[in-house]
Amino acid sequence: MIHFLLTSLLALLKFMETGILSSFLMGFIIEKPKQTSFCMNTVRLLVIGILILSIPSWVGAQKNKRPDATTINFAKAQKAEHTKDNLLIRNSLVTYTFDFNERTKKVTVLEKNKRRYICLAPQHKTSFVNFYNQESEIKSIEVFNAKGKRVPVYPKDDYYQDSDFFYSDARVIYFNLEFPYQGSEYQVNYTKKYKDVKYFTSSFFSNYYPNLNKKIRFVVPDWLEVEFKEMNFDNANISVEKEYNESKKSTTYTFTGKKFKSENREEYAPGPSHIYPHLLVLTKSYTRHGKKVALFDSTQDLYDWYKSLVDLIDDDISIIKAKVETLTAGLDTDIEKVKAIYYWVQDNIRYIAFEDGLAGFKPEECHKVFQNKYGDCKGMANLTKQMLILAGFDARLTWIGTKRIAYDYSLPTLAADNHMICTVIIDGKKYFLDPTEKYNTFNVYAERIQGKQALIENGDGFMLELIPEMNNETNEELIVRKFKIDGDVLKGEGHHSFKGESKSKLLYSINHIKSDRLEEALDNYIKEGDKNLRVFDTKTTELNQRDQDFLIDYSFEQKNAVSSFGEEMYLDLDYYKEMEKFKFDGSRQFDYLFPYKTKLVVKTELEIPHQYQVQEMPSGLTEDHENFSFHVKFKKDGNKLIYEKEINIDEAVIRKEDLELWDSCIDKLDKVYHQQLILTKKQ
Amino acid sequence: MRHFVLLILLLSISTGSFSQAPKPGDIRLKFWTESDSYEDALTIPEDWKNESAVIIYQEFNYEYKNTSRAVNYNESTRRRVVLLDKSAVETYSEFSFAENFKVDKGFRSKGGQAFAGVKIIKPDGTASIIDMEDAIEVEGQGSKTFKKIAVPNLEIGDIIDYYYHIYEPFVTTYDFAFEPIISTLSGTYPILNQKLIFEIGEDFFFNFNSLNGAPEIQLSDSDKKNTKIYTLTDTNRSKMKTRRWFYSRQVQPLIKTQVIFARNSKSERLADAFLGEKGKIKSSVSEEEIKKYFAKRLIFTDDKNNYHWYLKKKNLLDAPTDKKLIEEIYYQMRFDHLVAKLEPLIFLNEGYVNVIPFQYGNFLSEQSFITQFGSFLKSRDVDFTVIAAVPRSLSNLDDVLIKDEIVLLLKVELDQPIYISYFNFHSNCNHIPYLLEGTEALEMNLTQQHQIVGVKRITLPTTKHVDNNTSTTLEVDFEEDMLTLQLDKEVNHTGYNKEDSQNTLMTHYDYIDEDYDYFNASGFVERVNVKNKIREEIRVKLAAKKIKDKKAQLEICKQTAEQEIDIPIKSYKKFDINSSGRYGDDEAFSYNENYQIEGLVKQAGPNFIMEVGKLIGGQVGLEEEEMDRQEDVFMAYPRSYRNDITINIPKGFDIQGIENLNKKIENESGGFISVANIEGQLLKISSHKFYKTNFEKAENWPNLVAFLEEAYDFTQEKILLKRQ
Repeated sequence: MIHFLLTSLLALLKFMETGILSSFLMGFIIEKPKQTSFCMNTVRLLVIGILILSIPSWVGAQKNKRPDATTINFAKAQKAEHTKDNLLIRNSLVTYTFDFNERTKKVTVLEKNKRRYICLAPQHKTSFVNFYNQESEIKSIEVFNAKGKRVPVYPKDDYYQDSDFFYSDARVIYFNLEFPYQGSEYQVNYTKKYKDVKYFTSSFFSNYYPNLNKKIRFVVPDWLEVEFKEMNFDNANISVEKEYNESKKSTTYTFTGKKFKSENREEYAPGPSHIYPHLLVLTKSYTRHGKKVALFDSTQDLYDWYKSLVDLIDDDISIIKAKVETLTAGLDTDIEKVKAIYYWVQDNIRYIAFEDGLAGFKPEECHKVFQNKYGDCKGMANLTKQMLILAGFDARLTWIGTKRIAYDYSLPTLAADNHMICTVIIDGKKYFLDPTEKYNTFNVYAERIQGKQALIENGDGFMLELIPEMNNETNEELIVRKFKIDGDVLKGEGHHSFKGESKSKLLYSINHIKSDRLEEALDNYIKEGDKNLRVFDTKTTELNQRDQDFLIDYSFEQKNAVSSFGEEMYLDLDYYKEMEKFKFDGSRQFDYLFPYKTKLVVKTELEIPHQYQVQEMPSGLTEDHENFSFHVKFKKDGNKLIYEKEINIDEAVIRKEDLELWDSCIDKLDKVYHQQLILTKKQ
Repeated sequence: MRHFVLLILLLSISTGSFSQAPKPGDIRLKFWTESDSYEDALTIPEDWKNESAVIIYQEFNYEYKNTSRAVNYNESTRRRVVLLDKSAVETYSEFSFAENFKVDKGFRSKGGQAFAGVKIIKPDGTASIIDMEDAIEVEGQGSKTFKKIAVPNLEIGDIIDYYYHIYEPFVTTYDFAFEPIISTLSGTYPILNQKLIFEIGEDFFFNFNSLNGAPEIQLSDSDKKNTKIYTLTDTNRSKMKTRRWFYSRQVQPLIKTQVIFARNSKSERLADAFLGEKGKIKSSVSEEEIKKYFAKRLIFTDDKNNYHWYLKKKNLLDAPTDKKLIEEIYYQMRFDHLVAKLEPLIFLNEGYVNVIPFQYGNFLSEQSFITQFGSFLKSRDVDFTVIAAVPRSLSNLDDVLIKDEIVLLLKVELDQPIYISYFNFHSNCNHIPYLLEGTEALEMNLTQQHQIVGVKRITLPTTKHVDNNTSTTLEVDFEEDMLTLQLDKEVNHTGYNKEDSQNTLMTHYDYIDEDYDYFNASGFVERVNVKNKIREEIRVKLAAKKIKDKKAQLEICKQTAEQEIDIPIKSYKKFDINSSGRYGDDEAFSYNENYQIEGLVKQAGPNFIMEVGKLIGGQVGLEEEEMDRQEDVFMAYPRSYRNDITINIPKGFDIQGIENLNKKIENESGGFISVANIEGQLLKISSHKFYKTNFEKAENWPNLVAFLEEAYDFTQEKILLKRQ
């Protein structure tokens, strides 16, 4: 992307976690380049820091008194328990009330949030952040100090930029607050209104900071039918009270829980809906003036709403017709035609994500995506569908929740999906096409959608289908190295082959390298920056083909690979040492997710010099477990020494209960990696 | 009545002084006219077909206009690029730009505006202009707006033709020096044609020079009244190449320019730039001009108050002004004008705006420092000269055109001259910044009244590699598992080798507290003018801040040690500073550290292989394509690295292979020497790598290659620990 001018402060907001930004927005403004003498740069940076500080001034420090000893001791005790957290929520109450807007004919939701924060660190500064968009608004924000006196805050309102989206209608209201001492407390209250209940889907018990006492309260009027789905409540010790208020004709549900840890800051963890206790709020129907109106009472209601948006699409297929004809001309089979269209959309339509009110749910017209050469998942799915229909196929739009989402369509909620693909039906068999997956092979499915339920359009009805699961063989990566010893140099040939997602990931990278740097990049990929390895005569299969494995073949010379001491030669047979030191050391609380199911096979063949023999074969490794396995073996075959390694990660995940086991396997693997092969001169 | 007149005057300034902002249509026509000679340019040379993208044409336009009270500055870029691969398409697929912004020039402005246009030309020549109304606002506060647009229908083989024009009107009372532009003519992609166009109005001075073979700028015909148009035309420029140890400004075709506005002779006198003649290009600055410029600005007084209070306090008023006394004053000034002012800034940076009033004052500029130090010397009747020098990475004396290219030094005439340079947090007295070493400079003599009168060309002295040294004493012990090593290190950096380590490894309070002790001065907490209650608050925060910094320091030291030894550290246990090296050029920055590493030792049956060579730390690894070099080699300074390693050999093991650890290559450019021997249960290895110069002609590159490769090969050496 070309930046005509540098982005401002606001770009930093992309680093925010939902709710709170703990790193202060400073020090990131970059000056125009200038010739300067040596030391002024440092001074200038500090001065810039001050200028930035003057923008969102910190609230609270001056008036906030030092907490009493009891509070400080409480903070200290909590810090011992929550070592990584600087703030803790002592009490939190969120109350949802429902209303009906006669003008818009929508059920609205008012969320009143009250949280009392206490500082666990010696002092802490943070930005409190609230998000809203076209379908919601922040009505008020209030802050009170420990004595209950209101503290003025000066919220800023701006666009929220997320690196995942080219454009989003999300906006952010934020203000800064300083907790001057360990034990300093503030009560932060805010009110948010959802203009349409369909966009209010869930309420979570955990927050960015740990929460000691949390209450979620719903005041449900008799005219509204709501179902609360308790998600991840196991071990959460959450109780519920139900109370009917005759005068207000409403039922109050109060869910109470204690001691919620701070939200996940771990990378490669499952999505929040998999791991945190929360309530999925299914607003099924409302009754006004004796008439019952369905909201999302069933999956059919959800589909009906989606379909109502699809019916608004005004596709002009005449614009794409010629391209379809060109792509399919001369192709004999249906599969060939589908592939031609699918791969063309993958290659020629750039993925750019938009999230803009209803447009966040309604696919862009196919001709616009075709003309723009960009679109989001919905636009790309719709273009694929229309091109396939023009080519004579039965193609359907398909809604799906990726693996990040825990739900399926048994729950009629907008929270059930976050993605759209296209389904083509050939001879009764459904093939799922996701053109956002660049270099994906037809009939091979990305890990993120495998096993997930797909909602396929079917006129006024719909079809539900599971995306086929694929095993790790689909993504096999094979490395074969055959070499002999020449002095202290290993000389030989290498061969790498890639399938499935290991292939598409690599092809994507290769195809986005500047073409004049491609050779160098491939060289570096093989060498991993090792100056001792010289690679030459490198050949690859086509860089944009998807239907065969991607192959790299090369010759190599590896210097400093053999150490000779007297009559003995020592060498290391494993060049890449995959997964070396890949341990968690008790640092994770959640599963670790790999991008895809992995199968790695390494075969190494050493030609033993005539005058040498293997003195001692290093020990191998066999670790077979439910979700992963490691196999390493050394064997002699004539004058060849064969080293074989196979690593399988069958489910693309290391479950948290297996993390310790995984670490112990890696320790064993590292031991194998630390072994040397010894060759001794024959007597 | 007087108020009324003033009001009228103000109104006339605020409403009548800016010229009208350009119209989007006019801007578009400026670039995309029917007479655009690049409209039909669609092809590129065969040689560049494998590039990622080729710039068919680019134009940079700078326009400086002067109205009655305001300056109107317009700057635009137009670029026409053929996209040859996906990477290039991706690069140009989205544009983001400021549409309205705050002008940071002059003392007042109604705000700047920007105009952008994008056009796509398909390989068959059909062109479509992107509707910039489709750009989406993604940031917007007050008068600032930031937009972005996704470029539609962009494919490999297309040409993208875009422009971006900014209009910045502002008011300035006297002079205004625009930001200098120093740029090589080559860039990321090859360039078929390019132009730089300067439209210079009245009351502007134009400094411009083409260097290292860049084409000359030409005066073009102009029908604009009181405006001169200068154009530089350049063709067939290959893309920029990068090299190790390479000062691109010394080698690659380059332009250097600055425009200065000065309305009248008073403004000209005040201008912070070298001025030529209005209406003419100034392409060089003479020695005499440099002398005159500084003679006017460096006014040395003999004010007895100037640091005599310090001498009095130290009972040194009658002491001779020798090297020791000059050092005392230098470090006191560094403390008063930099270190002591840093602490409140740290607090402000931490966000305690409401606790601490702004009590830090102004920092001393380089010019003020030179004046103040010179004045002290004058007050003590010590002779000195002023030196104007140019950092090697930027330019050289003969090519100076911009005032900011010059660095000032004082040369104090004692038995041995002492060089005084502008301070930084850790700088030493008698210090010449390394980028000035060995450069040609101007030495300006002073009269007895300390007025600059004469000027002569000198060559600044250079250091030797022994002066800029890093010595590491390392003791290595095997842990019980034989695979983990315990490293106990003492590191001493001297000379220029100190600078990076001091900046990286010390926390602010490591040297702030040291200075408070050294000068027996009160810390900021004590001297800040606040109520005791608030002072107590600051004290608590300070303690917390120091704990936080120390924790962060350990992590930084660990990362630094990992980068040096090129192996992940298993556990980093200790970092202790022995001496900061901040109070004398001959004082080392010295520290001890202790950590464990894993991965250097591998099991071989009952024996162990140790990659012992890696203990001297990562060495320059030249890639194959670096072995031949046509360009001269520009390094920072001569330097040396010494390692004395003692490995405690575990009982029950013999060592084999130490003969490979003895290496020696020495030539006129530098060398690498290593020696290893066994003394009882100890394996002792010493290595010494040294670069004798800071510059080598390309033909001497093989000298460097020889010892760089020798040192790298040493890192690949292994020994065998053979079980007895």
